[in-house]
This record gives sequence, C-alpha cells and structure tokens, in this order.
Amino acid sequence: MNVSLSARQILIMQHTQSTGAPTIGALIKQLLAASVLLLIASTASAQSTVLLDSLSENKQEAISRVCLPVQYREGAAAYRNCVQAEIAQYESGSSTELGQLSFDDKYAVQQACAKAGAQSSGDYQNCVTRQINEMNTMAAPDLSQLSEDELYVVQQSCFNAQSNEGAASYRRCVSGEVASLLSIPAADTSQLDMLKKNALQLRCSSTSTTAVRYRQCVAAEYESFAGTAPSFLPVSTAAAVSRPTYRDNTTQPVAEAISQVGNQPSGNTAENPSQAALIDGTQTSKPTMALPRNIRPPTKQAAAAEIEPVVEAPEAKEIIAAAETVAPEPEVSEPIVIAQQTATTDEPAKSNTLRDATGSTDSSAQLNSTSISTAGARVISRPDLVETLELQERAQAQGVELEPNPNTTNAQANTTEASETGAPSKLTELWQSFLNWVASLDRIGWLIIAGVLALPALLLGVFSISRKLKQGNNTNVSTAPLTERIEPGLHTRRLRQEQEAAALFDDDPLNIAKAAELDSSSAHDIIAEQILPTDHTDLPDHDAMTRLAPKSDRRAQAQPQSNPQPNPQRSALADSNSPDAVTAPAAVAANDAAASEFAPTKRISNELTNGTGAQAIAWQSAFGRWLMQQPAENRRELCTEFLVYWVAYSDERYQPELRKRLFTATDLSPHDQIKRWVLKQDVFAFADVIGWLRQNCSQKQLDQCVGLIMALLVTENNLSPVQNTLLRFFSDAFNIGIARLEQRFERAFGHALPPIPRPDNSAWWAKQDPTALTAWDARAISGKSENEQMRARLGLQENYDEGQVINAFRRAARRCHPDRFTTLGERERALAEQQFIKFEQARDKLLGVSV
Amino acid sequence: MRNYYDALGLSRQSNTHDIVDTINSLPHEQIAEEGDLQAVMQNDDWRTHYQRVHLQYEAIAATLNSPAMNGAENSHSWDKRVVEFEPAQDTLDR
Repeated sequence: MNVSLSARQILIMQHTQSTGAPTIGALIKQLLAASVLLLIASTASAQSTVLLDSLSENKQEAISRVCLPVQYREGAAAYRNCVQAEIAQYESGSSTELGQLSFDDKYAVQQACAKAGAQSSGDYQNCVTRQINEMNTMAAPDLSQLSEDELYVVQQSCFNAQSNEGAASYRRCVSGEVASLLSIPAADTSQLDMLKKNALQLRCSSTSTTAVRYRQCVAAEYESFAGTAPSFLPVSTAAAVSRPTYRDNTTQPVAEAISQVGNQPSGNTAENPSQAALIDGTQTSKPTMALPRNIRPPTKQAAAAEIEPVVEAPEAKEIIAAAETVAPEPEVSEPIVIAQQTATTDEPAKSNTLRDATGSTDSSAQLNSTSISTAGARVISRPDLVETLELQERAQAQGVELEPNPNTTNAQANTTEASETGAPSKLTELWQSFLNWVASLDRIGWLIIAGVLALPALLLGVFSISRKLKQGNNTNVSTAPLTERIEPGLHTRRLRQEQEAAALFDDDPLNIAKAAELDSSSAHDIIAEQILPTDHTDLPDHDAMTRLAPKSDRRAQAQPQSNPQPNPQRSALADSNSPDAVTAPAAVAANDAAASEFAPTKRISNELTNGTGAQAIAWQSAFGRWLMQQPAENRRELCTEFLVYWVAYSDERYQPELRKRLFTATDLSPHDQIKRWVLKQDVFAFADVIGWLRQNCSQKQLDQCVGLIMALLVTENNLSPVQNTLLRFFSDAFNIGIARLEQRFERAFGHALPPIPRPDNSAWWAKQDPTALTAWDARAISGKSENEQMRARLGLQENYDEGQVINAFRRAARRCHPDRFTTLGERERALAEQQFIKFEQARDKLLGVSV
Repeated sequence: MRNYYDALGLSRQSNTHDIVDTINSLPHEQIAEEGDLQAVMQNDDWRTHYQRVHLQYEAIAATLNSPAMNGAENSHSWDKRVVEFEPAQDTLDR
C-alpha cells in the first residue's frame, strides 16, 4: 500500500515538474521511471524500512507521505534521512504529523514553508511545526454540508490564503466562507437535468469570487432554468445577478456589477428581469462538478466587463471579462496558467463571445441569448491538470467549448494546450504526443524511420530506372498507332479457329455443323469489326504500270488510217474508268491513290445491256458457246472446274504429256475440253467463265468456289504470284472483298496474304526469298524426295517439328472440310476429299506414322 | 503491271533467244527507259513467273471488258493495272 500511495504521489510530483500535456505514453514512461526509482530507493533505504517496520501502520503511512516526495526529488539518501528524522521526531514526540493532515491543509503548510529551506532542514521542520500549531488553534471547518461545487468555490475563494498566507489563514478563510455560505439558503437544483445543472454551476463558479455570491448566483440562475424565481431571493436580486451586461457608453466591469448585486440583496435593480430568464443555459453549459479543487484564483483579478450592444446582431450579446494572472511560486509546484474558459463559448474563436443564432431581433425582451465570457485566467497546479483536461473533454462532449481569452495574452501564450478544447485540444494532445515521441527517439529509431520513409522512394526509383533501361534496350518498339499494331478481330478469329479445329476433329455431327456455322458467321463478324483497308494495292508500283498506252490506242496512233475496229466493250471500259490513264500515268497514279483512299469499294462500271435492261452476256470465246450447250445443271461445275484448272495450269502444274494428248485427241470429255481451253490460255474463255459465275451463282457459291481453289491448289508459305494475283482478282470479281479474302487466307494458312506480286519489277524480286522460286515450281518439287514433297505439301520448312506438322495438317484439313463446299457439287467435294487424303498422307509421312 | 512482251513486240510464247535478241536490238535510250525490262526478261526464273502473271493480267483485261463485270469490286484498280494489257481479239472462232 505504501508503494501504491507513493507512486501516486510521485506521479503528482512529476506532473508538477513536467511541462507538456500528460499522455498515456508519458504516464507509462513516468510510471516506469518511478518504479525504477522506487526500486533503487527501496534498496538504498532498506535500513530505513527496517526502522519503519517497527512503527504502526498509521505512523508508517504518515512518514511515507512526508518522505516519499523527498525521495523523489532528492534521492534515496535524502529519503533515508527524512525517514530517520521523522522517526526521531516521532520517538521524541515532536513529530509534525504533516502526513496526517488533509491534502489541502498540508498544501497550505508546505506552501507557507516552501521558502524555509529544504524539507529535511531544521528550519523547514520548525516552519511546519509552527504552521500546524497555528492551524490547530482554529477549529476545522465543517464541510459536510457543502455540495461539491460549493466546496470548490470555497476552496477557490481561499486559494490565495492557502498559497500565500499560511495554513491558519487558509483554515480561517475556509471557516469564514463556509459560515457565510450556510447563512443563506441553497437552491434546490435537483429538479434540473444534469446538463442544465452543470451549466448553472459552471456559470456561477466562473463569475463568483466568493461562496456567498456563488450560492446567490445559483439561486438566480436556477430561476432562469426553472422559470420561477426562488422564493428565498428577491426577483430583483436574481435578475441582477444573472442579468447580462451590455456594452454601452458607460462601461461597467462585471466584477463591480456583481459586487453591487451582491451588496444589494433586496435592491430593486432589475431593469429587465425577463432577460435573466431568457438566458439559454445550453450556451454556457460546462460541468463544474469535477473541477480541480485547488484552483488558485488570480491574485490580480482585474475582471472587466464590457457592455457592448452588438449592432450587427442585436440578439447576441457578449460580455467580455478579463483577468490577469500572477505567476505562481515555482518551488512548490510549477503551475501552469490555463485560460479561464469555464464560462464557455460555443466556438473556439479568438474571442470569448458566445453567440446564439436563434435570430431574435429584439434587443431587450426578445433577447434569448446572452453570451458570457469570463476572461479570468486561472492558475491551475500541475497535479490537477489531468483532471482538468478530463473535465474539459466532458464539457466538450456536452457541447461546451473553451476558447482563449484575448485579454489575457500571457495566459494564452502559456496555456495553448489547455485553452483549446474539443477537437483542437485532441489535436494538440496528439501533436504534443508526437513531439514527445519524436524527442524520445534514439539514433536507431531515427534510422528506422528514415528507412521506412525512404523505402517507397527507393522502390519507385528502382522501378523507374528498370523501366527506362527496358525501354532503352528495346529500340525496336513500334511507334505505329495501336490500332495498326493490334489487328482488330485477331483474338476473335483465333478463338473461332480453335473452335472450328476442335469441331473438325470431332465426330459429332453437331460440332461439325457448328463449325460450319461459325465459319459462315464469323466472316461477317470479322469484317464488321475490322477497319477496312482503304486500298490494298501497292500504290508505289503504279508509276510503272501505266507507262505505256493501251495497245489499241498505240495501234491507232501507229495506223491512224487503218481503223482497226477496237473492241467496243473495251472502249467503253476505257472511257468510263480510265480515260486519263492513257495519257497521264502520273495523274493516274495520283488519282488511284486518292480514289483508293476514299473509295475502298470501287466498282467496275460496264453499262452494256441487251436492250431489255438486263446485262447481256456477250461471249468472247468459243468456251462460252460451248458452255451454253452443256446441261444447265452442269454449267456451274464446269465453270468452277475451268477456274481450278486455270489456276493450276498457269503454274504449269500438269504433265507435259497432257498438253500433247489434249491437243491431238478428237473426242474429248467435257473435262478434257475444259483443260484444253485452259492450256490454250484462252483469256476470253476465262473472261466468259468469270462473267457467267458472276451472273448465275449466289454469293455463297462464289465464296466456296474461291475456297475450293484455295483448298486444292494453295499450300502454306507457298503462294505463287499467279495464285496471289488470281485470288485477289477473284475477291473483286466475286464481290468477296479484299478484306474478307485476307481474313480467310490468314485463317486458312496461318499467315497473312502476301502483297500483290509485281514480277515486272526487279525491286519486288529483290524482296523475294530465293527458295520461293523453287517452291512455286510444282514440277521441280515433284522431282524431289517423297519427304520433301510431303513437307512442301504442308508448307513446312526444313527444320519442322511435330507440332508444326500437326498444326499445318489441321489447317489443311479445315480448308478441305466438306462442310465448306455445301453449295458446290459432288465433284468439287470429291476433289476436296482427295486433297484431304493427300494432306493425311503428308502428315503420316512426316510424323513417321505407318498406316 | 508492265507489259514487256508488248514493249518488245513479242508474244508471250517467245523463247529466250528471241527475247534476248530483241532486247539487244533496242536502242540504249529505250533500254534505259525500260530499266526493269532487261533485268526481268533476261532472267529465266523471273521471266517464267512474269510470263505466268502476264497471262493473268491479260485474262483480267479480257474479263474487265465483259459487261458481266459491271458492279464488280475494283479495290485493286484492275482497270489501271491492265492498261497495257489488251487481248488482240476474241477467241470466238477458235
């Protein structure tokens, strides 16, 4: 128990000496320090402890009360000496029994003897003895009849005597105050709620300098809260006490006014009693129940009140009181000055003005708000600081805020942390805690903090440097727009390809049908999601393609008189499409570029009709006449067969003996007749076929016709110039569109469609792979080994792997799938199936699979 | 595309010997003007594929004359590409 009590006292002493606001961390730290000191002291004063044990418990506690502060301030040796002195005095019967005094009496004695020297000195002890003896000459006041707030006022009234005039004077003062207080009846405030009660007590405690005035004030204020004047007080007194003061030309100090009221208990000074009743207690509420008990009133209390009518807002009145503070004696306790804000204000502003925003305009009867701000600054000793702050927090919770007093600049400067309550107070406490924490940091702590703060910056720097290095190394970063770097619809196409491939190798007919459906629908989707290229021609090559005039024109120029009867259709085309191309090649190239930029779907215009409005087919070859002699149901197949042979034979993919046989035989089958027309390179037959297909086939049939040519004749990575040129022309002639052709080609072969070939240009040749010449020559490939033929069939390079074989075969099989030729005839589907078998053989050969 | 056969006054079926002789007989100014003619036509591999594509352009030129081609897409400007290609005559009687 002694240790616990001592620790509390030590804490009090530490609070007295510290300068910052107490925080939990600081309290813990100080408690630890006190514990250490106690341990040291207990060890050093073991001998004293032995002596103390021989005394009664009360004596031990009394001696401890006296000597533990000495121990804290002066060390273990002083503590031992103090204990020995106390024991000696006790044994000699001369013990001052200081420890048995009440806290307030002891404080008064210590304050009176503070200048007598060290507490262990004889002079100090003599002073203490003298003070006690003087005090004992007076009876102890009976405080039991006082309420706590009244006790506080009494102590406040006698604080000056307690601090400066000695214990006897203090007891005398208290006795007098109590007697005066008990001479007047007390208002029964039990009917008020806690908020109003606290507001009442707060208002009166802040404005009353004596206990009598406090009780009078309470009674008057109670009238305002309860609505009726207490019976024991004249109404005029109550009104006068609580009457708000106004600033006018006759400035009157509040203290003086209150003093006048107090001296006129029955005077008729109520100028407007209703004003007191209209005071809004909530504006000044502040609990006083827990105010520190030993608060020193200012010794130079020059309370001044200004009565000032607020012109701008007559409903708000303010009373400004000021008080000066006197620095306390530093030896006993190091008091801090806390601006007296217990009168409260609503906002932590720079003045003590308490304003009500109810908006009343009547400055007298309608006055429903009176702001009272007392500028008195109180000197609060450190031991009560914690309690004071807690009180302020409670006051804040009840809507009362404290604010600094502009008239007490000194107090304001010294009590920043105490004058700001509410959120600012908490911020101040947090800031003070932070400062304390920073001050307590050692070197390692600073290093840790610096490391923590520098870590994000370090990571950011590393990330930035690595990114720059990566950008610096990658010098080939494309600067093209994103839309050009990321092909639109590529992901969709890949996904559909995978689905189709999966369905292709699945025996489930539903999946096959689904794949076909995907194929037919994906084309439209892909085109829709693509940005159609404006022109797919290699425009730089145009300068060379129109250097010569058309043969007919040149022929006409050479033989102007012969009139060679130029082809009227050709003339019509030339007139309608390229009149400038004959004479201005550069202009043609420019026009071509401009037209291609804005007309991605340029169309051919041959307005030749048969007179009936329908386009007439003017056969240009014997093949056309022959075709019309064939059964109608076979014409489409024959035309398709013609195109297949045309593409194949153009690359000389036939045996030389075939040509000889076809040109010497007399009885040829329709298929052989077609082959012969193809081998004859009858370009007009080709034109007739294209024309007939355009006018007699559906778009889907035309699409599948081109797909059949691709499946049968084109191999991966081996698109010959002839095939490239014809596929491009088919896409235009059959209205497939170059964009869709490129999509289909890339999906079918796994690589993009090469640019349109320009075999007339040496620069184009310079760009071609020398091995491509061999790959384009089917006859040369047929003379190579079987493995090379199989590899060429799947379009594989020499260093192919198993995965490439499988992927190439899957693409080839997809190209040959019968579902892709549903609108074609059985012959076309049979050709596709035969081609699929060839691809299977190539796959098995390359993978070493023996069937 | 350039029609070198027409420039040389030769047919597509001309052999290498005839082509070389014709080229050698051309004035130097014309040879210089037709820079790629000599390079393409005197290279057997290049001329082989040029000859095949030449056929296609001639066929395309013939096709463009067909009224059935009215309304066909012309994204490659075929009418301009084949301006040097014009079949001599139709093959109705062949």
